[in-house]
Amino acid sequence: MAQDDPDINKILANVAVLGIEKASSRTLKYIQKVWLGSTSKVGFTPEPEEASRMKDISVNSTYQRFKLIVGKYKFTAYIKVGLLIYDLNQKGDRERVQKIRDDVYNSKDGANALKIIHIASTGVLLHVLEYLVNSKDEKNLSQFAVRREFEEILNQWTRISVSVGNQSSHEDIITKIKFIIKRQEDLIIVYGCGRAAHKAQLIIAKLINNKTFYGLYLPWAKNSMINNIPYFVCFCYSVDKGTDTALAN
Amino acid sequence: MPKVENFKKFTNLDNNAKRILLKALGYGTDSKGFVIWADSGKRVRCKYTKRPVHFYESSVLPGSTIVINTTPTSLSKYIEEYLE
Repeated sequence: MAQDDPDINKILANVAVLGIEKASSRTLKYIQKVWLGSTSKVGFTPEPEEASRMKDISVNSTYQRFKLIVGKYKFTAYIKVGLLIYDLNQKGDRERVQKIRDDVYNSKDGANALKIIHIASTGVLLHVLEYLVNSKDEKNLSQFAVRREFEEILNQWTRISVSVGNQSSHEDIITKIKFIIKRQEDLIIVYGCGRAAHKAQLIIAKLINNKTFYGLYLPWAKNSMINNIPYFVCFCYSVDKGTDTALAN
Repeated sequence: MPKVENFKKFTNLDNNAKRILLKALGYGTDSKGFVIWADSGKRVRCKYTKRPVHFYESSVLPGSTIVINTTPTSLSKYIEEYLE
């Protein structure tokens, strides 16, 4: 708060003691003047922790680079909400997660926004953004192409992604990946977290050594730590697409 | 409009103070607790969620007369509009 600012909290508290019905129009006008002229950060945000977390996400370098590419884009707000939900899931706050999911579902972009939330809940949303930023640089993609590729990933996520879990066998995962290859999908996304991150990495290494992707797909892989949990994600994009985007054609 | 650099330092107003501020800014609440324009009695719609704003879920953007629903989606859009 600037030193010379009248204290809006004190003013409101004093009026509250007298009672709202006793506040004269002159007093209300004064309150309005002080509020509008205030340089302080006074307001009412029921969940300052959540607002603060989303503010932190907004300065994440991957998010910022993605935002720089796509510009003003209706889905970037939901990316921050998705990453917030991921954090709340990690803390086990299921009730709050469900409330936010319901709120997102009821928003005007409900269906697509929920797809973003779903990908965020797997922990690999930032990796998706990083892959797109990298694709933009490597293939000199336009803003439009990056947006379309992002939306295609949202729409096709369940068809093209393979989640490696602790319980799943190497053979089962490899079968799933080969099934996607057989369908000639333009992009395959394989990911695992925690102990399964290493397993996912081994599976991809095995497939590369077996030349399963040879002549068909180019892998782009990333290892990272999020909240002290290891993540491995591999995007295999079709070589047929050349310098185009993998999906948005 | 002042920018919120740190939401954790955001000063929350109690409900009485909030009602007085809303009244000073030209708002009231209806019988179901939704924020209304004092002059017309019509419910205020959040500029981000496009939905009516309930008193308990309302926020006033700092240094403005804009009332919004306080949901992660609307806060995310607010951050995008003013802070990114």
